Amino acid sequence: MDKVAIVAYETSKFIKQSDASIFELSCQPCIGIFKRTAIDRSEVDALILSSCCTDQYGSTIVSEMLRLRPRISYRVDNLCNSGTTAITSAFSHISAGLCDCALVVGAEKSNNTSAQKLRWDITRGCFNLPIHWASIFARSHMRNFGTTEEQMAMVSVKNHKNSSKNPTALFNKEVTLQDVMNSRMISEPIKLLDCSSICEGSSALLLVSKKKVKQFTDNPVWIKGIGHRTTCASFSQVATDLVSLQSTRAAAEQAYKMSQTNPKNIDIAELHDAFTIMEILAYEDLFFTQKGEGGKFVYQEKISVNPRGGILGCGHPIGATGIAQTVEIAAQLAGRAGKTQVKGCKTGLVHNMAAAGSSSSVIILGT
Amino acid sequence: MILEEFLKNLKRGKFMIPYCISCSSATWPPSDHCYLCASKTKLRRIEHITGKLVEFTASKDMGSRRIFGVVDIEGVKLIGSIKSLLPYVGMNLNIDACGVLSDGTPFYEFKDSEE
Repeated sequence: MDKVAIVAYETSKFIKQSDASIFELSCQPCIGIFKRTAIDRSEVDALILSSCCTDQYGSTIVSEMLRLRPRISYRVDNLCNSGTTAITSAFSHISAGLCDCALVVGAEKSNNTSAQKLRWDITRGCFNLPIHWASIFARSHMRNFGTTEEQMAMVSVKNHKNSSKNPTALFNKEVTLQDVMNSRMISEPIKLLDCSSICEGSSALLLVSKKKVKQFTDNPVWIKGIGHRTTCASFSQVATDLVSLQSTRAAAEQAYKMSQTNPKNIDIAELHDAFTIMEILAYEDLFFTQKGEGGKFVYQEKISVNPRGGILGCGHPIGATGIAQTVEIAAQLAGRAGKTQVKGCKTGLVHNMAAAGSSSSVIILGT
Repeated sequence: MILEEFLKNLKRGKFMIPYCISCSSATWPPSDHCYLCASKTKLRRIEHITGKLVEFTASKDMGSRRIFGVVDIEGVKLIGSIKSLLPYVGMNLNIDACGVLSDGTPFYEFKDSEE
């Protein structure tokens, strides 16, 4: 299996909405990559678009708009878990020798409401918004382990502090513990500032085979391990365990094994904090801490968690999120993260998931 | 088609679960084939079967405070309104009402089985 490196990346500024089409939005970070790398566009032999948009033939339209003629071109939709799924697709094509240079782009318009409710799942009845299942997880964690609303609020405080330094984030303003605790209660115990915001944005990565790396950089970031798991789609199945993200646990075990590393070696991580409770669950299910200890783990400083501001601080352009998370970790490991740079990080982890944790991805990167 | 039949009955306030005609397991969300053995499924009405409250909380997203929770009915877990002032995990519940809203969204309401 050929090694695969990330050699270039770009994330557009996340915003509430604009008049740009999903295709124009997709092109923006790719054009940034072309300008930075001076790559000959004929070398791009795969373009994978991550988006929950329903516009037909999206990846091929984006390919034409970028004047690419890739061997492989398609769109990936795996709800909020689309971005890392697209990266794994590109990784697989390169490591199998089907291509050498893959552009992976994630993009989402905020008016794409089809990605915000899983209509097939009639299990959820009229409590069918993501905040409903998130508040069930939160209540269950509080009941079983004594996790507090303040601990959850601290996730939001931390991530908004980080996003205040990130020029591409939707939110550039810090929030205090009181701000979060006093924000509007939506579904107990989850308040407005415990929630991420759906927004518009795009992000792209250039993945290449080992033989191509030298052409781009002497300082590549390698994909060391990948883990995925889909346990189900319905909340009925998820609800067999309301204090764990079972798909995350399985994906993490696979990624640690493939990368021959363990949670103690992780210096930096982007976790799927669509709601504050989800970051607390992720601490436990990525094995950063013991089950039940996630609430206390928010105060630790050994692992830098969500240095770009996470989904809470950056916003959630659904198909772009997993790409933007990976861009941040790649930039951190390459020492090019600008104002959000964490010193001395060598191994990083990306955690991306969908629909109440019914599917998860974990990617481990290293220098 | 089982799902269409399920929704048709739900609109009339009848809650039904599809069971496999071969291995008898509940197939949820509704499907024409059993998720375990791929045999055909058949709807069975659930009226007086008691479910258990797995977890609950309250939502204010629609204005007024609504208690809702996950209810387990013979292994089928549903999210619905809980019509009890003092719900607790493990509480026995029955379906009190169910149906389909004008936008096509299903709803389920549960009450204390002792009432």
